[in-house]
Amino acid sequence: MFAYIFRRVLIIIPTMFVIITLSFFMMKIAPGSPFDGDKPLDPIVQANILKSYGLDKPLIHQYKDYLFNIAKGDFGPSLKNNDFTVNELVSQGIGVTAQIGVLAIILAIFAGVILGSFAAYYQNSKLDHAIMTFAMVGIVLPNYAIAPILVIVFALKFKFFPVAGFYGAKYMVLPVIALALPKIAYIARLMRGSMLEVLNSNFIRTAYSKGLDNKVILFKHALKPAILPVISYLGPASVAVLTGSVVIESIFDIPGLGKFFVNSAINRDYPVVMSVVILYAFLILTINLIVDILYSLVDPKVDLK
Amino acid sequence: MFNTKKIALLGIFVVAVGYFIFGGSKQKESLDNTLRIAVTGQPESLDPSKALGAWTGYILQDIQTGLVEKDASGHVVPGLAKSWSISKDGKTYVFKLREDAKWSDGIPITAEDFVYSFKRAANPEEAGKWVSLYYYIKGVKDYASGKANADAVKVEALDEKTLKIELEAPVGYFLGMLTHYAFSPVPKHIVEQYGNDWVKPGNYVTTGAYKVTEYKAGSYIKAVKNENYYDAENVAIENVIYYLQEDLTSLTQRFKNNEIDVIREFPTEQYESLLSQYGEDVVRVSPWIGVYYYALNIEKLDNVKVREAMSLAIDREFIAEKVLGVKVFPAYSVVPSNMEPYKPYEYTWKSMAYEERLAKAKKIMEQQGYSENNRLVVELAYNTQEDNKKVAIAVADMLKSIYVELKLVNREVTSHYATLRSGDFEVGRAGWIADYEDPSALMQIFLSYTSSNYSKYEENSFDSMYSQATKVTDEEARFRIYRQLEKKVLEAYPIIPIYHYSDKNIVSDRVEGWVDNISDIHLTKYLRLKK
Repeated sequence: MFAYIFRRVLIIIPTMFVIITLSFFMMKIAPGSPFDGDKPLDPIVQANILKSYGLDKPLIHQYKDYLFNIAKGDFGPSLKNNDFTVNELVSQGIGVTAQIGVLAIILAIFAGVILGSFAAYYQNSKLDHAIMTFAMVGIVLPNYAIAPILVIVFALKFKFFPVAGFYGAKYMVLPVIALALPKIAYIARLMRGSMLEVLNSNFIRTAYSKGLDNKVILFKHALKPAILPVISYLGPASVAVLTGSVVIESIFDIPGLGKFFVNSAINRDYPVVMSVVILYAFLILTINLIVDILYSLVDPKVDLK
Repeated sequence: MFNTKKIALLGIFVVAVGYFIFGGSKQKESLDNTLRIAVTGQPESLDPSKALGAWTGYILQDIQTGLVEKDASGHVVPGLAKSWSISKDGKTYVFKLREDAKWSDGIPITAEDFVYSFKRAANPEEAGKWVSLYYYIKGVKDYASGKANADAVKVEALDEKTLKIELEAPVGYFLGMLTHYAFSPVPKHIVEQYGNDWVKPGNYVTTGAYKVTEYKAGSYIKAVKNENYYDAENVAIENVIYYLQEDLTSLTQRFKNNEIDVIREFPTEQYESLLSQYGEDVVRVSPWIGVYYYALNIEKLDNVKVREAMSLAIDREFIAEKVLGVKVFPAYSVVPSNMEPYKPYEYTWKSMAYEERLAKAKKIMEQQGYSENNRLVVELAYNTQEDNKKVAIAVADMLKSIYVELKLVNREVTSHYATLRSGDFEVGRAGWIADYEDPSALMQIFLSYTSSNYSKYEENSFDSMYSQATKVTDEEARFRIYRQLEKKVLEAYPIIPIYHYSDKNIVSDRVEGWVDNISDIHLTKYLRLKK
């Protein structure tokens, strides 16, 4: 197993290199520069600024400098947020995004597993239909549609929560729910399907015949095998939460990675875009690796070699 | 079922969740004497020479000030300088600083600080963004372009509190320009100590009515009253929070939920509903100093008759009143009519009825050989935004009847302006807001050597008259030249002016002292909060 993990970690390095190279050149190809606003800068001013950031050098030179710098852990200055370095912005952003993201994943797992299990247990009942309808709606509605609905209902109408911003616990509720809802729906459906399969299997029938309590059967014996598909879904789910946070953070004005990513992409803030892309890529690769390892721990049939 | 391992796991889990929920930034909101302003953008920098963007200005104007300032209605008044004298030839300014002018850390502001700051702003290695505003000062252009050293810059401290500035040529609006935040001094003692980190809260020292206490990137900036500000006793509001959020729809909802007091822009499409809910004192629209126009690429649309016909055929009143639904002002000139005493030159055909104009445009196009079967196909590029789209669709419809087929192409804003600058377009949407209140701030976009001259309008006589005009001290005479320039440029049809902008602010009825003005400058120090 350790040989396997080691191999996987090794693969991450060339993958990252390809991602860095591709995104570096793609970004430079995109028309416009960080200093192309609606008011063009004076040519002398523009030349001085480009020089101060080393952007006047040939592209291949810039690429080389960039690789050397990031190898040292220096992602450079932000071109549009001059008062911060990229490292400062990203370390602030990742903390914020992680808070929202981890909460959303936890909420999604708990709510999804419970709803899905009940739907399976009470198959074809009204409860089942209600949960599955909810799940269908949750999967169909994208984040950017759910978020404003939540705001209108829970912030503007009932005034339970603030509309946007990020200044404490109550500001997190709506974004976490908006981010988690589609995942809850998906997990509930997954859970229902696999739970049905497990509930019809021989060992559960044996458990019933031995007269075990329903709750014990459901949450002790059936849950563990039934949760496998959910665990394998955690990888894509975490990635979806990461990418979903790009939308959610913009809507709720949360100063996380997603918001910095969108703003810097629009403004051609090259160093910030690059570092967020690198970080996202790295997180996604790592999450996938962790999920694979987790999978082998839960399911003895999976052998990592 | 409950063994210790499970309880331990559960415990760890609860702590982890707890950390994630409550480990975040916390903020006990006390609204006592706190003004909450949404500035609709991320400040580029709190360093006056490195900041760009109107939203950055909203913050910097509150925390930094220069030799002169603007009052609540936008007129020039003394700032850190208590008085000044101007030489007869209009080229030398001598400013007397206030005795009580201090940095927010209590250290006196000296003339030497201004010398340091102005030279720093022009220093090519510092790569300041506003150097072009400084070009009027003697020696700056040579220094910035590397042709001379800092000694060439003619800014001098005559004594501790007296500053002399020499200009290349007399500039009638120089004092007005000095109110721009780019001319705020920076503290030598702090900048030299901390380098680029001098703008970090804790190091950052200001000259204005407020000083920064906290700055969370992408989220907010907090400021408190600067007790060392020379006019601190007249500053009513103690705390200001600037929210750095772009999404106007979300901001409007936050305003409705009483999370924000002032928004410096609102979505046009919500104007009617906001107005009916809150009224004119809250939803404020007033004339601004900018023009929304279509640039016609002269190299591709080289027939001036066709360009004239296109301009004639656009019903600006319809666009202003029906398409946009928010108060803007149909434009028949480059300069808006509120830059008094300047009187803009307007197209003579402004007075014609629209049908008449349309008929004239159609006739011109027919004379140029266009007809129902031989239509002119033109591409219109605009940056992705709801208002731009609406105007583009309306204009495309209007031009149909004069045999012009407009193909609409939209791009996101950075690509759009890059396209305009590259010249790879036929008709392109653009806009220009004057940096200072003078017709020259708008006329400059037609100079052959500026990169904002998207149309590639090149006229030597325009360039030379423009540079002559800047040297004329008599305002009336200077304005006469600008009017001639405006006529010259309008008749060459390099652009189609469509409307003159209005600024759009939402100001809660909690806030008192807000005065609409054409520069859209609203310093927090002039505002008060209702108890």
